[in-house]
Amino acid sequence: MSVDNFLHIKNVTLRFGSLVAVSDVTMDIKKGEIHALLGPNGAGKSTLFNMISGIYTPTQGKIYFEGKDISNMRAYQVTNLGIARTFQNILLFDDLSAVENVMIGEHSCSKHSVIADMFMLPKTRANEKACYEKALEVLEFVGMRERAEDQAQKFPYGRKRILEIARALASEPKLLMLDEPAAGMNINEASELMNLICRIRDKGITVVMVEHNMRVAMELSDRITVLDHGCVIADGTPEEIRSNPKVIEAYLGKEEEE
Amino acid sequence: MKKMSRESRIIVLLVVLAAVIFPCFLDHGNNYIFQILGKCAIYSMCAISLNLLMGYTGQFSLGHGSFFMVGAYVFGIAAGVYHVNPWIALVLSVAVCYLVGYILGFAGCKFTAIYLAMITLGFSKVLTLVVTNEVWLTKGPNGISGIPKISFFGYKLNTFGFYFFALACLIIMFYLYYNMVNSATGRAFKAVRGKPIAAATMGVNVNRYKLLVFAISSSMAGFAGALYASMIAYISPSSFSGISVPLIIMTIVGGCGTLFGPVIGACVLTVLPEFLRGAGTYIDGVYGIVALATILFMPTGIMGGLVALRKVIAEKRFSGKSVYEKKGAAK
Repeated sequence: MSVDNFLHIKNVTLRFGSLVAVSDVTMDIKKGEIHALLGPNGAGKSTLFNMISGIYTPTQGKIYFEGKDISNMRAYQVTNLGIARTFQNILLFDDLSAVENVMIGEHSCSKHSVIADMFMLPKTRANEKACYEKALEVLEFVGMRERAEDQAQKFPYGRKRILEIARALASEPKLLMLDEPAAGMNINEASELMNLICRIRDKGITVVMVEHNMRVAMELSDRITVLDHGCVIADGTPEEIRSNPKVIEAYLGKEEEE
Repeated sequence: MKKMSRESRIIVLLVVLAAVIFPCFLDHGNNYIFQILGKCAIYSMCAISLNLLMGYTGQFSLGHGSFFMVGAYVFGIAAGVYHVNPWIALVLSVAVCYLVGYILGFAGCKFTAIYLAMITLGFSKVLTLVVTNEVWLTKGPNGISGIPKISFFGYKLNTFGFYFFALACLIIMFYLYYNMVNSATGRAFKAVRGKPIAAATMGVNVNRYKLLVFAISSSMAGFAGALYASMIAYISPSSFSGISVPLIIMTIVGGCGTLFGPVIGACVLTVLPEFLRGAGTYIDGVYGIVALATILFMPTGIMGGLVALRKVIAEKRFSGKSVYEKKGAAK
């Protein structure tokens, strides 16, 4: 298994009835990189995310993660293999505190049984304590420790996005998928976010992100894949993408010939 | 890991002490009072089980009373008809209810909450028909009488003693429920309630947890049902007609998704009808009005109302203090 095969998407197609949301996409994500997915609205980026994370099953094609076929796995199984994600329309557990949200993120890497939980066996107590402390560490890492006990719904928008990243990080992923992490953030927040994403990469976690904010995508990414109408139209380093005529066409429209 | 505050621990202790000491001063032979108190404990268990399902996991059961009924009938048939030791019959009812819950949940959990609600509603209708018509097993509409009370070392409990037994069961059940809600399992339940998709991507096997909570909840209700059969000593299909809806109302009035709410709701709605004996069949209307009023004016139930009240008082006290301190600073 070569490094190239960290996440390998092979000829993946997804149809909703007659609508083709993603058509014959093949791409690789290399270990340790920050990889951005770009494309206009409706290009199929989030759909691709949903297929990787097991929410949708591809109609055709396969997805391999570290050599394992994950295309037919359910979401919780994919997470257990080490893929975590955030959502475009933030999906936090609103009525729980920040630290509880992060503790739910630890679900996949904590062993527990219902019977032991019911009787609060010493093992459960120790687990709970470790879980709580680890959640605080993760919050510390993203710079939200002092607000650990606040309810998730009380946070401003940008903080919610960061909290979602913290929750995803708590599952100790190898691959972190961020769906529009900078959406709705101001310049300061976006800079802070970019810094955070770099620190996540430095921990050895591979990052894939869908991003509309060009500054974030261009400055951060090692590689960029551009989708349009469900197809890959370009793949390469930020410099290559910037000068790619197809990309310019997809974003700005075709130049009229005179 | 959220622990109860010291204040609430003290309140719980006081309530438990009151529940133990106060009845001792009542006339021990007054079966009527002790049956009501026993019912309070039994319905509290039921409401707790429903709260685990509705409040913590966001699943709806419109036929939760049917698990109560299954528990009661399994106990009644085993202990009353076949003279099985009541303790074994008790375990049997819990086991059967777990199984029934598991099977029903298996059918229902793959769908959204509304389908589970429909399935439970259908189950309760079918169950009533089966119990009424399968006379060879359930004695049909005549019901089963002479169901024995639980006995301790050969000493048979009277209604007075049975109340304390039911109370002890409630406390133990509450302890298990409290632990479950405040552990990794409880967090998974809350995650399933909040955002199922997010829960799944956090590694929570959503269907498994839905199934688990349904089976646990139905076995809890079954246990309560067995105690009910043992206490009343006589069960018939009509003892359980229309019990599911009051159970839901108890949970909502007490406070759905709060720790103590269901117990409060169950006690209020068990005692209230006894004062309204004169209302006769209008009692259903009273239930309806109480439920509506709660939903309109106190959406988080009595428990939620109490918590809000405490907050208001604390804030007032706090603001009063700060004014005082400011004055002090000005001096």
